Amino acid sequence: MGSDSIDPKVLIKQAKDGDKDAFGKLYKLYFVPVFRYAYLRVSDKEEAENIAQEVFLKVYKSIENYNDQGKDPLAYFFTITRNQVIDFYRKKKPISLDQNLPVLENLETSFGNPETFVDQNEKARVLNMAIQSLNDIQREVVILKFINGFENNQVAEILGKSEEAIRQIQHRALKVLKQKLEGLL
Amino acid sequence: MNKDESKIIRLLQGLALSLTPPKSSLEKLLANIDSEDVTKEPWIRYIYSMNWKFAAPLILAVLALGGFFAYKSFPTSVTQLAPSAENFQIPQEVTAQNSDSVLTQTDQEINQNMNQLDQDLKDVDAVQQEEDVNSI
Repeated sequence: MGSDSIDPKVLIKQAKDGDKDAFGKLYKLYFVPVFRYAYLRVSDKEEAENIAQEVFLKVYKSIENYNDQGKDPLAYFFTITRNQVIDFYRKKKPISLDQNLPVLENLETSFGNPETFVDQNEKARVLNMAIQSLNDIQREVVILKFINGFENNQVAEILGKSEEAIRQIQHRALKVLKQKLEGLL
Repeated sequence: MNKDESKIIRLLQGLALSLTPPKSSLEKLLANIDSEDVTKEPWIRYIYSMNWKFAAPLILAVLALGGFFAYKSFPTSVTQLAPSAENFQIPQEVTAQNSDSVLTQTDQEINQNMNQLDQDLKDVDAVQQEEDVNSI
């Protein structure tokens, strides 16, 4: 059975019927967004890769029970991803406040002195820290909307909120990021 | 959207480009899927491939038919198996009145058998001793 379509709704239906090519195409469509989301939630490349792997394995194993209800499969993938991230933090040993302090200090100095942005890695590190300073829902909106490039209606579906609520959260998140990234702008 | 917000969005998009998963991810995933793929079992694959829209009513019909015949034949077979009331007698050895004697009889038999066994062993010993004496 071949799968020529790239419409995720069609692909997931074909994958449900046992079409491995269709599952492969879903992987190509969603693995990177899932990985990016996981990475910016756990700040660890290896863990993010493991989470993304686990998400696709779970989808593969439970695809028989998938019921689309006319929704974008993206929401299905990201519901599993969010649960995986929650599981990750549940299993992870708590980090003491002392361990976090140096990071906070670096964050402050980096924002204050633009000259310290010597390379792209440093810029990425500071951006990452600014994202981590957002609250949970703001962080999720920023990752889904600006890092993964999803539309407001897709983000709303994934997070179970209205598009208007997403717009407001996005606005507040950008305001916080503007304050945190003053040195970069 | 003001100038600063546009710049933040461009920075975030730049960050996104730097976040790429390792290329080996797909191979790892496929290896994981293969190792956990229970659907490789032919009988599970057969069940998965069944058209349940047609198979389910058929299975239900067969079960209903079987149940019907079992129900129809059940009373007859019970009547045939059960003894009639006038012919039915409780075996004597299990009535409450003589249950002690049954037990005593059994004990007596066991004692007799034990005594017989002792006697046989004594006889064998005696024969053995006699043979030993003769051999000297």
